Amino acid sequence: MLQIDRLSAGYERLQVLREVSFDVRRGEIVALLGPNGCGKTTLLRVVGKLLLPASGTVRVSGRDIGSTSQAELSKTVASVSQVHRTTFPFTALDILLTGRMPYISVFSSPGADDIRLCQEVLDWFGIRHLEKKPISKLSGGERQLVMIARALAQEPRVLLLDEPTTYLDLRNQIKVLDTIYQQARAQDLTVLMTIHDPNQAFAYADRAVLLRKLAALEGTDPEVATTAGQDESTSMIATGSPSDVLTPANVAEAYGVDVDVIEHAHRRLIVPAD
Amino acid sequence: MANPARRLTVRQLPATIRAGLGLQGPWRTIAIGLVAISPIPAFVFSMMVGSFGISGGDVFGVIWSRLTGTEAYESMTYTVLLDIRLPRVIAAMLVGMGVSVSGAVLQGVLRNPLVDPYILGLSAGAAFGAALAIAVATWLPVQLSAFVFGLVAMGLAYSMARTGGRVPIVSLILSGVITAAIFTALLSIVQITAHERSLQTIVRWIMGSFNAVTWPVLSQGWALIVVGTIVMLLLRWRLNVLALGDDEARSAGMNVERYKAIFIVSAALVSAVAVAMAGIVALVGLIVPHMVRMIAGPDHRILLPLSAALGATYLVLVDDLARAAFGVELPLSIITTLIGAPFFWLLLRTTKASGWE
Amino acid sequence: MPSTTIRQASTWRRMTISGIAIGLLAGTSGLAAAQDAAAETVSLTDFRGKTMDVPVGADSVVFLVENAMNTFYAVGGADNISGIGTLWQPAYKEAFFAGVDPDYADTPVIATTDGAVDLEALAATDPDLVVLWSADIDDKDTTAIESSLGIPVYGVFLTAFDDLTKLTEDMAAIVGDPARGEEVVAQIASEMADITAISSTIPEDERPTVYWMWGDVFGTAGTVSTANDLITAAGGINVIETWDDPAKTDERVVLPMETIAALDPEVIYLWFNPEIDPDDIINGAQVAGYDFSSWSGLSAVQNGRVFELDDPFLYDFMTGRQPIATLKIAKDINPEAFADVDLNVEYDEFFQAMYGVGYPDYQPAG
Repeated sequence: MLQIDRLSAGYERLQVLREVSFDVRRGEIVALLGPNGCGKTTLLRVVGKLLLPASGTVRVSGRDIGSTSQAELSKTVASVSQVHRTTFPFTALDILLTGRMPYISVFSSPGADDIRLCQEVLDWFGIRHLEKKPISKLSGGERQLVMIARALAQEPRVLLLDEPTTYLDLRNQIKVLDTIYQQARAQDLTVLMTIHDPNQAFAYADRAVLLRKLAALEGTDPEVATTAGQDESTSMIATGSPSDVLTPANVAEAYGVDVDVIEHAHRRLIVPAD
Repeated sequence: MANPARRLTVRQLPATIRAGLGLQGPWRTIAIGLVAISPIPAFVFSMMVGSFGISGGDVFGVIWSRLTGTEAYESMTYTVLLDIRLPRVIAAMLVGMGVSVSGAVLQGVLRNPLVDPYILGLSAGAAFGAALAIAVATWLPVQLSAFVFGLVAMGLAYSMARTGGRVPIVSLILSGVITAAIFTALLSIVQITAHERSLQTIVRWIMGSFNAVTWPVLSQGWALIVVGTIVMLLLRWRLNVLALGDDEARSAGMNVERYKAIFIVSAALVSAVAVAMAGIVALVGLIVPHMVRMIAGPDHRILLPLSAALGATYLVLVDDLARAAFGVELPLSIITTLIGAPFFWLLLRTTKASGWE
Repeated sequence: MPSTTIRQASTWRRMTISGIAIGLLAGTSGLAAAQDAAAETVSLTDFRGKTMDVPVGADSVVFLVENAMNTFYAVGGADNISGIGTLWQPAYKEAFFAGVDPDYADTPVIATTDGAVDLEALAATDPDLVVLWSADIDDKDTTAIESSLGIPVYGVFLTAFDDLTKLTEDMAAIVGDPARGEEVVAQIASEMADITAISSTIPEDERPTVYWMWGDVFGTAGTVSTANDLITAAGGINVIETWDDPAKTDERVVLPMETIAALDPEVIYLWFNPEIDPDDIINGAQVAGYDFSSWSGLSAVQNGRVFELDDPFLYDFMTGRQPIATLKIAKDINPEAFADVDLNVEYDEFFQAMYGVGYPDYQPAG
């Protein structure tokens, strides 16, 4: 579904992402992990065509997104960013309707069909009752759900989520991730999401991609490895199933902390080492 | 639900207005309906008002007799009603409509409710252009000069803000401020070197007036205002998408830079023509969209058409005041500022911070 | 040392010759006295109420305001001017100035851009007195000049025609020829009396209503204004008199177009306007940002009675040339009553009496 091939990207003269390659199969939920500054948000933005890469390609359903227009791409790929500003207090329904943009012709407005579809999406998320509520009056968790629902109103095949649980309390974190998981499974969606808590990867993801922060960002010479064994030629440390990727060794390389992986009730957990 | 039509003390405003959502329920529908049809009674009223003194019945009589080809009244009455009053009323409504829609559009594009169509240096550029044509390069037509320099100023602000193919909103606002400062300085140079007789004309122009509008003047500008406004009205839903943020809009497939350009250019053209026709009319493009949001909420599908209607009504009534309330002709900006400033104060006090950024 | 230009007794048929003769004698002897008393000063109060002592016969006076300078010429002070400000519409004036003051071309221009006086250039002329336009005792220029150069500053601020009398008397006092000042005042008064002698014979209902048009087109002169008095003296009625609104007494009134249409003036009279000409209004042209097509229904336009005071120097009615301006207006709006007045002859005689040069050649009277 998604092929990322030797992707490098950055801002101004700062390279944040280097030579990342991995594939995502259809229907997979992939967790993108790594320390702050490792480029996971950058990667997501490039895949969503919100940022142009320095080199490398991204293919969606076999087509290079570089030669696909924003309008075309949006019928397949939908992004949800980390922070949402609320300049104007639109209702939840009006916000969802903006997700119908790829299907509404230039001089038109959404029609009855669009409205029905959006209301259905709200139902899936169990927030239909918020339909006429302005976003400024919603809680953080509800707001996040609305934005994710908006992405789904685009009827995408691929969902890109940037830290969907930021600023949410425990209850809402679980609610949002549960909903994503259920919807992805129900509609056979491909999901690529960045998360900061490796345990969430164990709980919700089929695959994990672990990135390192490039040493150059810390002001040191990229030719010199900071820790023995660090391969600075790529941002990627490992990719595979969460258990294969999130080993204590990899975690130490990525985050610089010592951890233990424990098993509890058939689930894996990462905890800081004593 | 408190009756919103009564006196607007801060505490009495329904909570929904205070939250920036507009009225709810049947009140909303009634209010929207009233605003939508308000231009018609405003037009009729404005045609009946004027210092020449034509009675209400005679107004209809004159129009009827002109339509049927009879000449039942003195020729001066026809001239006053049809060649002085009528083009002026139409111009006031067109300018009010254009400037209000432009204001609403720019507030959406720049995601800032404190934006006025004149913010991107337009008014400073137009004022300089007019002053130049009045006092220095007197062979230049005043309206044309104002129009051209208004657009030059906005173009300058836009290109200053554009980096790497994208136009960040904050940069646009900042460069608008700088451009306005540049043209204000140029204007001051013209004013210093101009003789006091030109100064009077320049100052009057800057304060805004429809006194000089006739059919030929109107015919030079109405088409652009109408076309520009129609374009903005047709694209109004896209403003909802754009207003959510550049990334959100791009993700939904919108060519963000192209739409920003279309909206800004349309708003700029309409505002520049409005300024060329009437001088600078302060605050209308800023407060009319806010008044509509207080009634109907932020959805641009309703906001833009209602702003057009309310803007037309508002400005034509203001112009009625300017030309017929006192014996003398008052500049428009004085009236719009006297009304607009307290309204704005009220607005800032009542809308909660969470409603705006 | 001030010089006097000996004038011939004018053949102006309506002038009181005896008055002039006495005035001349008194003036000459007064001047002789002034020549002896070099240190004599005169105490003057300017238009702002500020008092100052000015040396009589001061020979280095800087004028930053034109109308007072013209008055100074009239009282014979041309040689005493050591500096001037920039002129508005100089093309209309320079020939006159050169004719009256042979040293005009050498007189330094103290650079001013409508309020900014070049103090160094001013100091270089070593002035005894500076005359400028000011309504406010503490304005920046006055304060700057007085504190840095220690020179008295005379502020001129004319709002009514009577102010001209005071200005003339003060200027004459500076020159040291008060009698000449009285002469000038008398000449102007008698000129005006001659005009009103004719215009007062015009019956009320034959006086045309006149709309006075300032540069901003819709701005007109109210009933308490110099322009209003001009029209009345010329045998017309300021159309705003017929308006029943209390604002009509303001000095300047801005009217909506409909009001102008309602007042329907019989004559439109423009103050000097470089862009708009009477023909533009008569033909309903679009000019200077104004469209006059909607003026076509007015009586004035239909009868072609639109005029302009087309020379801002000649017709500057806030100077001693007020009678000339009045005469021009009178001849335009009441052509029958003033039929036997030949403007060129009148102007020539006026200029000779007032400034000692003829019109329009501005050459010294023979």
